Amino acid sequence: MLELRLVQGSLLKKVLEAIKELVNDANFDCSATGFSLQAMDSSHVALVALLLRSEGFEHYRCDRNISMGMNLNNVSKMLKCAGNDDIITLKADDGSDTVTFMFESPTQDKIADFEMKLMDIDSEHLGIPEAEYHAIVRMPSAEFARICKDLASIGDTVVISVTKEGVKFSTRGDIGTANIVLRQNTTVDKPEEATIIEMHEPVSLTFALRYMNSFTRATPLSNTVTISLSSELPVVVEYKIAEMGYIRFYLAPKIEEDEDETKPQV
Amino acid sequence: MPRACVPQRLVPARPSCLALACPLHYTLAHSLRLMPTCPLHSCCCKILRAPPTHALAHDASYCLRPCHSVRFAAMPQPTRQTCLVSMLATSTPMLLPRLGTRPQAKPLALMTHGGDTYHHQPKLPHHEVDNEGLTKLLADNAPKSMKEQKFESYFGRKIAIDASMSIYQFLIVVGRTGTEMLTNEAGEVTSHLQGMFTRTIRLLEAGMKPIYVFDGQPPDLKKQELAKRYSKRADATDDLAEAVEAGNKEDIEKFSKRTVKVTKQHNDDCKRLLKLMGVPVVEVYAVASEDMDSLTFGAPRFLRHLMDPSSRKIPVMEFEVAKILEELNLTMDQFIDLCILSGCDYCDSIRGIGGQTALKLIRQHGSIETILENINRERYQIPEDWPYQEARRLFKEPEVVTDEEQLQIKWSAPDEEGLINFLVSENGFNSDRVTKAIEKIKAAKNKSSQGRLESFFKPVANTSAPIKRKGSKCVLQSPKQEIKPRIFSLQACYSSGPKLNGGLCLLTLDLGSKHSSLLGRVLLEEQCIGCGLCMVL
Repeated sequence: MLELRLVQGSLLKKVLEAIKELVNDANFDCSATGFSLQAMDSSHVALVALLLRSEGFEHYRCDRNISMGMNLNNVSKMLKCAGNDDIITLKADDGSDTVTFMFESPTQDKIADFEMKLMDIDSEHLGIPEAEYHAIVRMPSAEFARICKDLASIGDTVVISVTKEGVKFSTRGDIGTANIVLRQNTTVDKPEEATIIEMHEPVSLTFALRYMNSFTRATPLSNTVTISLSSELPVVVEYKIAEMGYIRFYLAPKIEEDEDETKPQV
Repeated sequence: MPRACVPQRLVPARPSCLALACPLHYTLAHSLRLMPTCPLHSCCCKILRAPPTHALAHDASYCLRPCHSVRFAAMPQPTRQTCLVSMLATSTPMLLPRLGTRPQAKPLALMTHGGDTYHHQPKLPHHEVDNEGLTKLLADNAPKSMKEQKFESYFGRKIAIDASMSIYQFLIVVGRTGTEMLTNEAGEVTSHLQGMFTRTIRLLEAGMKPIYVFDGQPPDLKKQELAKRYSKRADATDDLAEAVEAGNKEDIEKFSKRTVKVTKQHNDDCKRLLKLMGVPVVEVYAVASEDMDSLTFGAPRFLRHLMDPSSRKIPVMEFEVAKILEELNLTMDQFIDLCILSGCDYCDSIRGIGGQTALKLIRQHGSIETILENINRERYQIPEDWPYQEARRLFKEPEVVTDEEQLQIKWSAPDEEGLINFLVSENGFNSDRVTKAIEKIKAAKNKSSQGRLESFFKPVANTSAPIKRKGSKCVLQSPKQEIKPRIFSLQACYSSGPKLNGGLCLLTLDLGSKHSSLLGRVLLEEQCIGCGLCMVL
């Protein structure tokens, strides 16, 4: 038996919007501690990890650990039927192959029930070890989204380098090049507008902008974004979900191949 | 025995070529799998409006079998009819009324995804259950070892491809009409270059790193097999002469395909082309190329349908040895024995023992030796010269290239000038198209540098149980796809590990030994680089 009641239903809508572009089908895992999801995109380059802790729900009941396979597009279709102020309740019975979304309007004058079929999904669960990152950048999420969007109009990849000067996003394309440098800035009116750079070692990595841009769909979930970089590790782009948990995106870097560019002998 | 019962891999020209040669088979095959978008839809309907006997008068096995692994040809006529009708009913219900018959019995052989509704046809001629049978056996008994993957998801992977098999396919399919083939001005055949060029580009574009593996010396045991193929080819040459005399077009096409032979010249041409493209070429001894044999050789994973070309809707089928063993509850040694029993390239199988029986026997007795001690010799005739031990040794200790110098595997930039020179000047390719293709190769190089998450994080077991407890495999696609025709199939295996040295011959790929002849046509449709000679459907 599973029953999760989320007063701020729009949160779930935003979560789905954030991940459905990256992943088609995924298993939602429910345990006593919370509601989570881990899934890779089809090419196994990016991974999304979501956690909504049980404390964040108004009512949370999960008798045993279960995983529910869903097509995220279908979930999104269901959730689109919920109003932005609606309270969303997720229900599933043991042994059943469906999950029910219940939407209640804030005034309790409308209650809608949507039942969705579950799927069996074979998915690999990756173990993500705790790691010390060489550099951690916290910045306004809207700013990060803007940078990724702008750079994507010029090139396909972004080089993110953190030095003691600041963090630099650069790209190169057919029409030219672009460099955006952000400096540490903590003297702002609101704390969420600050750019904080914590650097232990300078680091520079190359990523595909296509994925970065799809991560920024999580921007509505949080005012700030944290980017953790380490050479030899995937980048982590984390959006905190207020008082509930987080959504983290991992992206494998592009690897510079050390090959000799000499013409092959024939 | 009817001719169709000859184990398929003994026939040099793959039966799928016949499917191509016969318009009925071709459209039938098409209608079964590509119904919603089949360009030949109206044509199919026209044909199917004909009385069902008409369809069955043709040897329906060839177009139907690929989706079912069961050889229809070997069934008695009424069974075949029921089978065909029920198949059509499940896959394309809308066509059924046109057939004018309703399904009378339960389907005999419907391979569904989980393998759980597979009704085994009990009286199959046993020796037909070859490696194709192994696929089926696995679908039945180890469904979890088969996984569907998107074509794109193999980017960044190194993939070994059986070059000879590819060349063979290209020669059969690319740009062929009757006995004529694509040639350059000097009249030399260029079909193989055309095919190799476009297919390699497609792989590179998907970010894969192909390695072409050319056959070296065949192992002695395989020579037997090769000799059989040779004699088949000789037969076909005679048949062709007859057909030309009689002027029977269908037969001419059919037999001329069977006479196709990959020569050293073809191999050398392709090697040169690949080197110019910057794709590594490896020559190995003891190549394990006969599709599922690769698994027996210990390739950790094995892909089918990899090249199902542009109709990318069909997922790649991935087989994983570890899972197979786990589900079948066998050791690797037992699995090897199972494969030998159910038929491999290197020695004959025992008449009367097919995949199912073999699995049962292995489970019961544990190894071929114990089986031989306990088996009813009257019922099962063991071939006199049955070198199972040698075959086993070959699978277990294949001759591996250990000379590391030989294994310089590097993907380098394409040699533009060289390519244009070779393809345009020497072989009469359209220069604009070649230039464009070279651009594609360059662009593709960029893509292959993308890392994969698995290189950083390792899989772990998930602790939560699925809410619906079912043994069947994931059902991700619409029911339409439940029947999986293997007509466009192409097979590959790859190693997930980055290390190639030493174990190269284990990661071989088999380019669809069986049903891939249609592939070339689609390839042409999409990617012909302008030879000006190809026949597009």
